[in-house]
Amino acid sequence: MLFNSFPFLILISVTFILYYLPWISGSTRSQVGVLIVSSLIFYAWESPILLLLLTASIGINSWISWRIAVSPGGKLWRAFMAGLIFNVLLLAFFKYGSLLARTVLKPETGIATLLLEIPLPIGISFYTFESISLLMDLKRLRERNEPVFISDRFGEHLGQTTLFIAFFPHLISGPILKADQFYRQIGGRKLKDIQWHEAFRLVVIGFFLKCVVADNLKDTTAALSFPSFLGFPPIVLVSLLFGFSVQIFADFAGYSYIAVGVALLFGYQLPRNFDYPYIAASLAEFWRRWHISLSTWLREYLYYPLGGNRLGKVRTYINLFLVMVLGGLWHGAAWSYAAWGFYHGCGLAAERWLLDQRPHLFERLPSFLRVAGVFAYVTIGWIFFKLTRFSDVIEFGRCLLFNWRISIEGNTPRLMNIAAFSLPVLVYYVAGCWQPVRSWSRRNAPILEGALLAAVVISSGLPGSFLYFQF
Amino acid sequence: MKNVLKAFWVAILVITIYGLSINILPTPSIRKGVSEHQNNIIVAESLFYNPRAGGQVLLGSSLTHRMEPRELGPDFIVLGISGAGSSTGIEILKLCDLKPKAVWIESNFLLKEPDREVVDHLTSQPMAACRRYLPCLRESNRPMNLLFSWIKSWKGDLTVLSNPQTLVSAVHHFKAARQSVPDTASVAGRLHEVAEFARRLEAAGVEVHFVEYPVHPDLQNTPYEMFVRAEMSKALPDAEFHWIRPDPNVEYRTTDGLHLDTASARQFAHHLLRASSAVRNTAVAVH
Repeated sequence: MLFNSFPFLILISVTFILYYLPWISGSTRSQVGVLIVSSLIFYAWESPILLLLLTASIGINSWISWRIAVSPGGKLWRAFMAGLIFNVLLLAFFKYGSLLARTVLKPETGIATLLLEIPLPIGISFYTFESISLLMDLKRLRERNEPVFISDRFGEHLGQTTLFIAFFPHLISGPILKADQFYRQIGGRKLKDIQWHEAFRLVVIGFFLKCVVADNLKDTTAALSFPSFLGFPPIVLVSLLFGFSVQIFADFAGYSYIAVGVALLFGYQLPRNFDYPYIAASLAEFWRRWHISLSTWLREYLYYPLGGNRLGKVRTYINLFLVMVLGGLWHGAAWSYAAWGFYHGCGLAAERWLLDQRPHLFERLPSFLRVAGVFAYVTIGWIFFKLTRFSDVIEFGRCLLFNWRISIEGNTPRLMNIAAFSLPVLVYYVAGCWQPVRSWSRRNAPILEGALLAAVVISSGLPGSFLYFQF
Repeated sequence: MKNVLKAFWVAILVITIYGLSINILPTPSIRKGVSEHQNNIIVAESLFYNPRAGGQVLLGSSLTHRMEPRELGPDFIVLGISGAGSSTGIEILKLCDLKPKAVWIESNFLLKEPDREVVDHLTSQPMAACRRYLPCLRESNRPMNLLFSWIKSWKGDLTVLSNPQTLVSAVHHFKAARQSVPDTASVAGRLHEVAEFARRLEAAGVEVHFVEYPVHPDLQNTPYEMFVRAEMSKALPDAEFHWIRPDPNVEYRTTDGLHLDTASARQFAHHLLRASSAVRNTAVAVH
């Protein structure tokens, strides 16, 4: 079910009414029950069969995590490893089976056919990472002999874990939750506790970014596909790539805003997923601002366990590189995603190496140049997201270098559309980052939010699914 | 909560002002969308929300989209859906339950499935009902499309010229794609549906013309084209239906082997009008 669909409006309205009914309001058990039922309907809406996998994953992870919490020390490690292997295999089979079939196995073999026919369960990357977070957080606490955050009664733990993994605002495209942060929030809520204005603000900004900016850019940047781009001059190609960079930000940040706002209506605080990433002055800073929940997950559950920056400079570069390649592959079962990770891994490692050599190197540059440099680097990288075949990426590069003779005529609508719908994102950055404008927009929040809402009604693009659904 | 209500009031005010200005201000003479997809919705809306019972409707694909309504006459609605074929127009016409004076059906992409997104856009509730009563919510009235339509009306639509280099590579591409033939049963099934639709229209007193657009000679005799033409002659025979084919004495130019350039599209539009008036004159004489 999409956030920008009518069934979702119905679902959230019914859920909200039930959640705050006088005899349900304030009761943890009943409210958790309402949210679980809604979440399962939300997930099963398009493809009910996928519910089997989700519930199986929740069931097994609940049981293993409960075993980790209650097992004596010796069996702790065994339970944890069983859970980790289960989640990794689940993700590998459903997400990377087709990649394996395409690259390693012979296409006509039975196993390859089977792997290629497996549908990608929506949101599997997100809920598997959350399950791993649950297992790792519990293991750490147990190893440190600190109190665990889950119930010692399995029934209650199962309900809470179901809510943690399946809570509909974040189920399909995040933010990726950390178990210890979410479980501590589970409790009864009253209508009077709702932060109405904050929830409304987040939802309106989210819908504006998604429906007005991303959906309007989507039809234009669709031209960024093979063979469509062959006939464009370099200026149009660069503009399309710029447009896609804005679109992917607006699409995903929009989704995250809506998710956080909707969760707030039910009294749950989800982590912020974007912090104006395109004003980052270094790649490391970009990754602290872009898809924060994934970056945090990768840092805490992959980079640190690999040794982080504690094992010397060379090992730090290797760790950064490895984490980014795996992070790239997390996005999709195609080598182009690994290439995107490789691209960012190289960028991060090179940036780190340069700073190790000359710690004040970048400080000499004006900040706008640093921001522009990082933005350009990141934007070029999105080509691996948009064109999933290497041959198309190479062809795109060739057109960028050699299409100078092609006339710009006929591309005015494209350029106009990109300029018009990138402008609100620029305003969003200025309003968020420049203090005088920020103060002014806070003072006039209802007027601005009303204008954004009106724009959603009269200027939304043709609806499309969220880009990050495919991951 | 007070701030939320205030924001809602502001939104209602902005939408009302915009809606009123749409009704009051003059409309641009050319209605265009920024993208192909938006164009499709706009042309679909042009028929769906403004059905003119006495008018004429030309249903087709992007080939039809090249036909300029001003060349065809003021009572024409050109429903050229890029990326799809006449079947989308047929679906929309069925939804409107309209009896125009004449329906012209492009035959070149008659086998393509209807564009579901276009049809759903017109029918999915509750937005379809809102758009019917609030024109400011229609695709053609979105601020960006309106602005773009104004620019087009002011500057004139782009003249599409044939470029020899693009033409060669595009013809090569289309020729390669037309070497195999589609499944006979599905082709026959679709053509049967079209024939039934045409018969129903004719029974209701609507003129039906099937239009074959000129394509590049290299694409004329590909296995796909020959197969489809043979199936069409069986399902939609000349003896029963009126066909308008390209004038053999005219050399039409295309930009990619399929789509006519602006000058040839104009020539073909005149050819259509001549052919249809000849039919009408014959009908009057027989009567």
